[in-house]
Amino acid sequence: MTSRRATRSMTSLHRNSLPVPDELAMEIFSRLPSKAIARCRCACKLWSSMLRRQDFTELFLTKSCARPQLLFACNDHSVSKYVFILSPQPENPEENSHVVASNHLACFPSSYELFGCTNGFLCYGAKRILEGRINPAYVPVICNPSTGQSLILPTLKSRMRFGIESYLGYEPIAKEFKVLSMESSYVSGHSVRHQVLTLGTKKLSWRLVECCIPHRSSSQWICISGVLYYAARAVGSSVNSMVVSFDLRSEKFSSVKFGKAMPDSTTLVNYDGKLGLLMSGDSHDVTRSRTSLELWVLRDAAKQEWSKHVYVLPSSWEDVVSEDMCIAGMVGVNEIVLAPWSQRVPSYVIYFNVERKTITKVGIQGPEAFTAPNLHHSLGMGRSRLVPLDSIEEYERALKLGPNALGGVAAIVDELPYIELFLAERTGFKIVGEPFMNRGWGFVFKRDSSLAIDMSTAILKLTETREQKRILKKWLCQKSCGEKSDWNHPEPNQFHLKSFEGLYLFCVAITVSAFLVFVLRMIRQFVRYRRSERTSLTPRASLSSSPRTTRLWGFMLGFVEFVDEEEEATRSDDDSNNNPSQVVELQGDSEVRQS
Amino acid sequence: MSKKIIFESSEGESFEVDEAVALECQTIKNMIEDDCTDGGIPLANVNSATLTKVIDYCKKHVEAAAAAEANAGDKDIYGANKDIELKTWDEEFVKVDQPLLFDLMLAANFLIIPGLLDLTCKTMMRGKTVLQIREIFHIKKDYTDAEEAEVRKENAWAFE
Repeated sequence: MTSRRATRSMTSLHRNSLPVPDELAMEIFSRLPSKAIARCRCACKLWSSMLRRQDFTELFLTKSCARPQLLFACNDHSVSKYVFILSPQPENPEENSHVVASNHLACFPSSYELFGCTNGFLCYGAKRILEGRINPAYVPVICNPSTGQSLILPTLKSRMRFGIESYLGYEPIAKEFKVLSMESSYVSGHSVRHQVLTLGTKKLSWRLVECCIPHRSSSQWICISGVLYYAARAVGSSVNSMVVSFDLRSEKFSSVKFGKAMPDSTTLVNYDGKLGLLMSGDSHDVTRSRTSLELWVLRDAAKQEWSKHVYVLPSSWEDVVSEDMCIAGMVGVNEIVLAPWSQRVPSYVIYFNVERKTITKVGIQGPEAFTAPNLHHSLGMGRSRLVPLDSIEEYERALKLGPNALGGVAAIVDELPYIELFLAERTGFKIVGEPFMNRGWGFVFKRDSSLAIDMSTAILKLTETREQKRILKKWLCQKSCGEKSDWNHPEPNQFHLKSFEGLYLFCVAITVSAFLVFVLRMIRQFVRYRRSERTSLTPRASLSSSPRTTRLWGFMLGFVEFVDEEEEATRSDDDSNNNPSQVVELQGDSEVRQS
Repeated sequence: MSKKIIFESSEGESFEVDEAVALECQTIKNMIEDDCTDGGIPLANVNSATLTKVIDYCKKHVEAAAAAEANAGDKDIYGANKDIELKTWDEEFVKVDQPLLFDLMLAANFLIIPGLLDLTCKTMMRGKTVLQIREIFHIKKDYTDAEEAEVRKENAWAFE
């Protein structure tokens, strides 16, 4: 009984004064997503101060580092914004699974370049038009994609508007963020005007720092425990062959030679607190025929010592990979993340576990997040022109309204089976044009699944017994049913003579006016010519005394002769231009003959 | 027959559990290792209702772990569904009233059950408004209206 009383008094004590002991509150907070933390800040002053402390930020960062996530930064050109989408890292990427990247983070206006990120903050460049200036100035912006907050830094001490690189670094001892910027000189191509800005100070300003290593910076960089590393090229070289490091505490530059050229596939990674250069051998891309990846870890910067790891790709690489990939980064020391090179927003990523030698393809699903940008990119349609529709009823209503009415559409883009279903149920519509990609869907099984064989047999049986035809006939629209139904409109994607009315009219107008100009010019020249002829040659004056009809005839003849002569004159001009080369050739011939 | 461990709730009620289940709690695990579990473990700050739930949770997770291990080599088409099933179970498990959830969280913290602590913490705060948070934790608003408006504006992104 005593223990029971003790519990009661304890809980009541907890709930009336401070809700929970501080350390338990911290336990709770450390498990929460950032949005919940922001709300807790609004609850009371004590929590607010607890949640603003540096140690909490660090605790939160360590906790979130333990559950890595994929961040997609997509430059949406239609609204010129960066769209950030976060997707959870698959917890057990052993099966070929899908993750849903539905966590939409903030959008930021894009205008220059995305540089990269450190400790959850992103650094990108923006162009801003400042007061009293015509040309936009370049400013780096630091943003937090989780909260949507951004900080515009002061303009650089620079006259340039491009060729600028900015790197964001975190210095763990002073717990400061610093931004390093530099520009490449027009004259020498070197990086010049290195400048540093410390964030968190009251008055943000750029300080010029000295760099005595001649180099040209690149967009490949990483910040590891207070040191910024970036790939750079030496003077006069056209390839990156060294790494320049910038110590954020002492603000000193130093360089490490790599010894050979870094291919374009090189990605800088954090390998257990050391700098790693991950690359596809000497090749610029990571292709299907690739057999291994290389990782060079910087063992000792002072001695310029690199250690090489070769990760042989398992045989399943060839089965999984169908296009050129790029190295996106490394999770921990065991997992390499690759993304398709050509896709702006990857529809999948590949995890290569170097320890277990497994290749895992993980699809990224983000329904409205990805179809709209894809449609926008592949078809070149403006975002404002796309309307999302959900049901067959909506399809019909929107199509009937037509493109000019509010909520109406001119056409619907959808997967074929849906379209076929729609056509089977509604008449008066038709598929126009060729389908973009595949004709249908398939069944997907796990590798070596016994069900696959059963399923194939079942499908084969279905086709053999004509059952499939019956099903298709009953449920889906056949190719011909568009014509069967009351479709009496002309093919909408055919051009008719009428479509070119304007073009014809324009052509005719141009041709007629050009002809008129020509005739008028000729007549003017002819009149001049006659006049001069009349003054110089008197015998011809007899022509003027002949009857009126012959005079007119003679005039016409004279005119035609004049036009002919004019043409001859231009032709002989052209000939005289060509002649010299012929002469030279002939001479050459004769010389050969002579010898 | 595996070894049994006896828990004693704050009400003095006894609960007998398998050792494997008890091992889910880090605190108990330490005690078992130190071999001081004979004659039952008194849990003075965990009441019977909470303890029942905690034992349920541990049992389920031990079973799920055993099932996952047994299925590891067996490739069935459902693959990851075991995980999903456990997640749904967890979600159902925490559909309790706030005081019990609070007690569960305290118990998880005391007994050191990381999974349960994680689950209860997240559930407690999920989708809660500032007013609800204050209510749950019995927090008195110490902001003035102007101060609150300020802090809310600063954290406006969390209220979208």
